[in-house]
Amino acid sequence: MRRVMEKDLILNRNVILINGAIFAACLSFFAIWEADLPPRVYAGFSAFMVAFLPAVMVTREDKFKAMILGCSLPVERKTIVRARFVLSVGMALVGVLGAFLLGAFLPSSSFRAGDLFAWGPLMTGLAGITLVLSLLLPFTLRYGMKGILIFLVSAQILGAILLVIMQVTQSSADKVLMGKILGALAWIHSLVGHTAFNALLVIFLLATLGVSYLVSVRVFERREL
Amino acid sequence: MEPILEVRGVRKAYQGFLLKDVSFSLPRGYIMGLIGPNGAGKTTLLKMILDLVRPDAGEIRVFGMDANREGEAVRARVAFVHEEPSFYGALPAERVADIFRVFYPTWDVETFRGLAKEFGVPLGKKLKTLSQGMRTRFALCAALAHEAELFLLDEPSSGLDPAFRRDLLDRLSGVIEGGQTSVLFSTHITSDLDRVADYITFLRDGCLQFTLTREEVSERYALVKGDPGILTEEVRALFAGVVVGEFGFVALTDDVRATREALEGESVVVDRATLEDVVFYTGRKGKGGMRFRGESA
Repeated sequence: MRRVMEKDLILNRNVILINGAIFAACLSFFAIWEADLPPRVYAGFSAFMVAFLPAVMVTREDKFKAMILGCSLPVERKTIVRARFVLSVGMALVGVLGAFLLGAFLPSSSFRAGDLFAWGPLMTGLAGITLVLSLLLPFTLRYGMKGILIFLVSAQILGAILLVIMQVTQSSADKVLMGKILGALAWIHSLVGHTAFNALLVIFLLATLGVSYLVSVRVFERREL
Repeated sequence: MEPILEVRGVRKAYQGFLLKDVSFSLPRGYIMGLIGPNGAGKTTLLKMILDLVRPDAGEIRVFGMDANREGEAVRARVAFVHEEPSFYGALPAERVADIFRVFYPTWDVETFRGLAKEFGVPLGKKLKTLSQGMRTRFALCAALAHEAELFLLDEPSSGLDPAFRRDLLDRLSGVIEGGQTSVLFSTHITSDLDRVADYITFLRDGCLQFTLTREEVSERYALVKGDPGILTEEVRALFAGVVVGEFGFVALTDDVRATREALEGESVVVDRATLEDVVFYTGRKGKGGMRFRGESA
């Protein structure tokens, strides 16, 4: 797996660095000029951005049709998927950590270190990374760049359909549903306590990532190149 | 001795294409040429051996191992050159070679550098700046730099100049000299096969037409030229393909003896058929469905 990760890192080093610089510039803007931005939103936004880094690798793979090369090497498809997951999660964690450090220590930043390096923003960042990667990776591994487009377009279409349904039916089901989810989370939180709740959240996120990995292996093993 | 490659009843269906029950085997120490018109299924077959494409039915065994279930172990002993070598063009050739190196324990840096020098590949240049032919040369250097036992080459000689093509064929002949290594390569340039191939496998429209030694092909096939006036239904049935022109017909037979006997006394010429003739005339029509130049199928 290490060999595959090294390969991906070498092949994508420059674009990762360039995208990292763009993300840093963007996050610096939010940290300095968006004074009212809550730390959790900053954490969620930075997680969302860095979780899309694997997309960068996929665009390169598609551009140079390099997946066929990777799969012709003596390595199992499962290993390629595992390497992609480890690398993506690793890059996203480093990216979120970098975003937090940037927000906390950038001169003129509206955040203090304590605002960001707290349970709330940390868990938000972790949840953002996990959920985006869990949804995105199976699509990209199966369909390449097209997968990202399918993912984004499907999400937008689904959102638009739901919005229209809400408007037409004058329903508040979305608010009711969100309220129920948040209520359930608050109930679990009060039941098990703060530490156990966070532990449960981490377990849930890891399980989600695990399911996504298994799905990715299955779809990637069937992919024909 | 167990063949190095065994393809048994392989079938693959795509929309508008069907590779039908292809079976053949390649012994150790031989070169097999895979020929056929575009869309015959040559690339699909090579990809299936590398487990890039999964067969719908049938089995492919390489070194006695299942190409699908034991793909990693198989690919460790296989060298490949794809039809359009796909590399990360933004990197210098040497950097891409470094990536290959870590995947092959038998990779020999000196051999690779020596080949690159010999093949004229500028290792310091980014691959996207190299021509298609030069990228193929680079792919060949990489394929030859580790001790592979099976070489799978998809149209390796297209895009190469004739002098280099000849060098490549000599090198492939050298590769099998030890008797342990085999080469399977697809090509449109059938004259290359006349020079080096021990076996010929001919695919057309997804169907295996034959898999024979080069000598068997020479013995079995011949061109028959004569006056169209003798082309009775009975005579036509002797041919695997026939093209009728203004001044006569040219036909391909796959049973020279029967054809000679049947046409004894007729004014015909029976000539040796080259591989190109075999591909050309078989590609024109089938035995059961006569078709003449200018007629639709």
